Amino acid sequence: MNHCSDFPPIERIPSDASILIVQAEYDPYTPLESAVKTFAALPQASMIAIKEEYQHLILLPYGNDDLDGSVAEFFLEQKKPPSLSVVEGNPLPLVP
Amino acid sequence: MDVIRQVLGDEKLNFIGISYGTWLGIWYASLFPDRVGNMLLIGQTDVTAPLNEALLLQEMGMQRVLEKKLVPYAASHPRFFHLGATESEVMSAISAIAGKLKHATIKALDQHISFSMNAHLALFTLRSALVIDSFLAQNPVADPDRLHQFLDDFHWDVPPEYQELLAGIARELTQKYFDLVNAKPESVNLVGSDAVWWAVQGMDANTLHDADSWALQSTLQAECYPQFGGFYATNPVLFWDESLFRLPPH
Repeated sequence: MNHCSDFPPIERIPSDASILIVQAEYDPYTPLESAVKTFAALPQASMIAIKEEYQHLILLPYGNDDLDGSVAEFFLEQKKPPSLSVVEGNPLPLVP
Repeated sequence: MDVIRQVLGDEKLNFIGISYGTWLGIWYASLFPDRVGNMLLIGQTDVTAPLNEALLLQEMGMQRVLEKKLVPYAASHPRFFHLGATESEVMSAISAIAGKLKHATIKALDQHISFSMNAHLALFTLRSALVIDSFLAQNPVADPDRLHQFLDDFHWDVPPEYQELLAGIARELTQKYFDLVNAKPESVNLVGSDAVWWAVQGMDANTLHDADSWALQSTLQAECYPQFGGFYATNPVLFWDESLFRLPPH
């Protein structure tokens, strides 16, 4: 069997696995609706949604203290954020 | 991925996956549950459905960025973007772009539609399309040189530091448009990143290999998402005789 032809057997992921999803509200390529379906299927995951943002490739640090702090603590202190949190996105660039 | 973990000498894999990388990350966590470290997944793909279903959602996602973010942004800066002073004016202007110019414009927009820091470049692309459209309306048999000359002389009415940027975007769009107009039918060229893209689309959990289903889906998408819908009709997987492998029964 070619594993790549099926969905991942996510039931095998440990219940205490350390997974953090960062998701822009209006991401065009991986829309929020898709991310939420995966998040709902992974009770061990945390998700931080970025309101009003549509950037697909969220670069870190992003510029929001709550998001950047949570990601830093996630890697450096093994601290998982709450199951679901929402942060404000950056405004679009100023124009003259 | 697990080879890399071993080479690094790490007991567990700490991983940052972006976009398709999130799909790979979830696969790793599923196949190597004892070796999952901290996993940051940015722009999460749907791992609960076939990948082609997730890809079809992208057309909705791009249309939503246009309508929810870019159009209001344009309307709030009418003297900079010159696309209209209200959202309905902007949408109406954009909707006038049709045919091969629309196709070329949407392809050009694809470079900017997922980068919010480049929102102005997306709108410059649409402005360029409208200027090109007005030229083509008056010069239906125009050649690229005449159009380039027109664009070089065009007064974009933007601050001087943006003039050349806009003109460059317009020249690039002109090239894409004429490439499309002059394109000859050719075989799908499966090299480089295109090979990876079509391999992922055609073989990685693609469940839809029936051309009629694709055509129907594309028609619906084109109706629902007027600027971005329907482009998957060009998927070469449609023209393969059969799937390269079949999903196991559930």
